[in-house]
This record gives sequence, structure tokens and C-alpha cells, in this order.
Amino acid sequence: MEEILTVKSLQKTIGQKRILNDVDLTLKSGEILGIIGPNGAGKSTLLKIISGTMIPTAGSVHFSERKGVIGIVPETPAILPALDGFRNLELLASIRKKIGKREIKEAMETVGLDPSNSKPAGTYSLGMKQRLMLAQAIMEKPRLLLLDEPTNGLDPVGIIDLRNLLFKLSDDGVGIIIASHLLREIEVMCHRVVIFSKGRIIREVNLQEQSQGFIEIAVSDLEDWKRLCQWSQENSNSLKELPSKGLPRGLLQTNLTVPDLLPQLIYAGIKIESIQTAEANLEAAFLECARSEGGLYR
Amino acid sequence: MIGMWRMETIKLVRHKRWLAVIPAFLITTFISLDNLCAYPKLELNVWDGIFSTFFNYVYFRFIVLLVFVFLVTDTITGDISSKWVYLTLSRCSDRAKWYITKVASIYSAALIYSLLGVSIVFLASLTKLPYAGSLSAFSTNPPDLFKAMGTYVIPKGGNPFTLTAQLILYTSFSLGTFALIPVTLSVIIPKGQIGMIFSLIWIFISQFFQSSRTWMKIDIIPRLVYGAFFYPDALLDFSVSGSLLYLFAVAIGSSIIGIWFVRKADF
Repeated sequence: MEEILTVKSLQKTIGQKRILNDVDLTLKSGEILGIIGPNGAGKSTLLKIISGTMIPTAGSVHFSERKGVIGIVPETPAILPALDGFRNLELLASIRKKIGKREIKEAMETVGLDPSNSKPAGTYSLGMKQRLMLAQAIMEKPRLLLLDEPTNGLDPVGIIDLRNLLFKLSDDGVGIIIASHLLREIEVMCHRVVIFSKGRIIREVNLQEQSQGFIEIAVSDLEDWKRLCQWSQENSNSLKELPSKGLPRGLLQTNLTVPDLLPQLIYAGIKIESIQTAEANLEAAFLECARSEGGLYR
Repeated sequence: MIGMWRMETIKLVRHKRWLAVIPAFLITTFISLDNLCAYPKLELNVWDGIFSTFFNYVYFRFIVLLVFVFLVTDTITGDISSKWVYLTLSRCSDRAKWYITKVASIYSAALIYSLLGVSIVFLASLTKLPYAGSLSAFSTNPPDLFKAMGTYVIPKGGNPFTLTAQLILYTSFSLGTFALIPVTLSVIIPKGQIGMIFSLIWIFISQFFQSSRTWMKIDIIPRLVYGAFFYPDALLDFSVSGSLLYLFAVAIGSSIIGIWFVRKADF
């Protein structure tokens, strides 16, 4: 896969505050890259610089196609409230003049909107406005798609539709960058994730590789949790506690499979409530980063 | 660029707040007509409704100009707060082009506003004054009492249609040019209603200092009124060409400053 976006030594300073600090990033065609991090970490700033709405203090952003289209879904829906959805898109399309009514209708139908709906877009629900934003971002067949909190306002069906749409675009070779707070969604949608803190990338996680060797375990009570911690130390396995309001829960890194591990834990007297192979472990990676940084939110 | 300009114009004009234009012009017209019709012997016709409304400095400042400023000066700060700027700027290859289309859309909106305003005033005037195809005796040769009060006098032989067309074009250009100043300011200081507040302060100061010759020479607001060229006893005698040149210089200056700041601005 060819690289479509290269970000080199990117810096952004506003007043005395450094928002981005030496950010290096690449994106390949068809790749879905997630950006996670606490509020104010610099995620949105990075997307704004890539899209050209913000100017970097230093460094460069290179998009492989000089006249290639970049699609953007902003953090909050931007619409002309007095016009219907189709007219909104038609006006935006008139800037580049690359597509006609047919393509606009197709884009609306792809995201589940009715192009013939003549209600003013200002009366749309938040989910519909978000779908309209997706339609405007994809209607001109972009080579690069930037999404800032794309699941905002989407209902569960909308989130699944979005996921399927992004997978389809990825298969078509579109490079996608998603900034979000929702670890679970990023985990499911992305091939690769970068964790941002204080304007720099503190870790890059390849979700496809990282999914190997992790098992998520929930135990009955704190006594069992202590036994599990002791067992993992004795057997040189790493155990990370996962935040949980219910049963104590953790992520165990091990070479064993669930059928091999389960008898050993039972033999050690640990009462297991649930055990499963972790498909991905972004939450663990994020928490590990938080620990090593002394808490991302501090 | 034409598509962008069209889009920006529609965005400015297709807004609920444009409904404010109707009551604003209706109220101004009826106040103006009440003043004229208080003198029963005057020979008036519908065109006097238009000229007495648009040629009046106070009505122009506090209604015609202020309403227009309210309609357009947040074109950039509004785009930033609504995030619309991300959708348009990323589609535009050059920031200078993006800003030029903004400027062009302000002038288009000013033309639509002037046409709409004159139409409302014309229709409202028809309810109280008769229609005629020529200028009234009052507008070409007002009574001495009105001359003493300092009313406008239109040269005899003038055509009301031509004069109204000139009024619309001049008012569009002058309103658009004035609006460019607060819009440029909002690029430099992109804060909420900065353009509106700045314009409001200026309009009030301009009213209070209108007896000062020095202020009147510098201030752009008195030159925005097309009627300024028809007051024989005015404090300053403005020429059409001089005022057009002044407005043109302001428009070019504001646009250049705007483009310079937009090239470096973060949205």
C-alpha cells in the first residue's frame, strides 16, 4: 500500500502554549488510523492542520495527491439550517464542481438519508446531521477522510452503519483518520492507533498485532483478584487491571490459550466469572500509557 | 470561485434573520411618510417615499446601515463557530480566493438588501402616496420652509426610475464597503460579535460628531448616503466621484488587509 499522507516534525504553538510537539505520522492508502487521547491533547489541532484550516508553526504535511480531495467530518455538524440536506450538499459541491446531483444523491443514500426529504436541515436530529456530514465528506470521492468524533449523536444502528461504511471506503483505498474518545469504537474500526498526550504521540498501537496473547478475565471478588495477581507473578505473566464497576476485571498477557489457562486458574483456587480471548487491547495500552505518563489527565 | 461566491451569497441571504428587513423598512417608511404627510399642501408622489426614507441620514445610519451590518458582519466568526469554515476552506484551493468570495458575497448581499429595501419602501409608500411616472414638485422645488430646514433638492428634469436605480447601486456599493471594515476586523480578532459591536459604536459616534467638519471629512458614514449629493445646504459638499473613489479605496484597503490576515489565520 502506498503512503498517501506524511506528517513530519509537526509543531503548533498558540501564544505560549505548545499544542503539537514534533508529531510524525504516516498513513497508507486503505488504512484506518485512530487517534486517541484526553481533551486538549492536540487531536483536533492535528486534523485541522492536515485539512489546511490551521497553519503549523513548524514541520510539514504532505498529501501524495496534489489535487486530491480531502473529506472532513467536523466535531459538530456544520449545516445551513434553512436549506434541506440535498441543497446543503449541492452548495458545497458547487465549490469544487467535481460532482453532480447523481453523486450527491448516491452519497446521501449511502449514509441512510433520503435525498428527497425537503425538511430544513436545521430540524434534523443530531444523528441525521451527523449522517449529512458524512455524506458531504464522502460525496466527492476523497482519497483521505478525516473524522473528528464521528460517532457523536449516532444511535447504535448509525454507529454500525458508519463502521461498515468506513470498512468499504478502506477497501476502496481511502486513507482514514479518526479522532475519538471512544476506545471501543476506535478498537473495532481502526487498523492502527496513536495515543496522544500533551501534543505528542506517546505510543503507537498496531491493533492487529496486539490482539494476540491477551485474555480478559473477570473474577468473583477481591480475594480472587489477589490470588490471580499472585498466580500471574509466579508464572511470569503480565496482568493489567481494567476499570470496572462490577466484578474485578483484568487483562492477562500469556502464551496460553483459554482452554489451557482455565484449568490452571481453577487449580490455583481462583473463581472465574468470565474468561475470553481479548480481540484487541487498546484500553490496556491506553491505561499503560496513562500509568507511564503519570496519568494522561493530570 | 463562482460556485463558492454563489454558495456564500445564498448562505448569507437564506437566513431567518433577513425577516428583520421587512419590519425595519416598513417602520422607517411610515415614520418618514408621517413627517411628510403632516403638511397637507405638499405635492407628493410615491417616489418621495423612497427618497425621504433613503436620503435621511438618521434613518440611514440607525436602520438601513445597522440592519445590514447585523445581517452580514459575522460571516467569518459565524463560520468559525458553526464549523462551516472547515467544509468550505478545505474545498477551496487558496485562502485568498476564499476571502475574495466572501467579499464578493457581501456586495451581492448588499445588492439584494437594497433591492428588497427599495421594493418594501415603494410598496409601503403606495399605501399613502399616489403613483407617478415623474418626480414630484416637492422633490425638485420644495417649499421655503423645507429649504430652511435643509431638505434634499433633486435637479429638475430627473427621471425617478434612473435615480432609484442609481440609489440602489450606490447604496449597495456603500453598504458593502462599510461592512467590509468590521468583517476585516473579525478576521484579525475572531471573537463573537466583534464586527457588530464595532459598527454600532462607530455609527453612534458618527451621529454625535456630525456637526464637526473635520470628522465629516474623514468619516465614511456620511458618504454612504446617496442623498448626500442632493443637500444644497449641507455642512460638506460631497461629490459623487470623490465619494466613490474614497469608498473604492476603503474596499481595496480592507480586502488587502483581510487577505493578508486570512493567509495566516487559524480557524
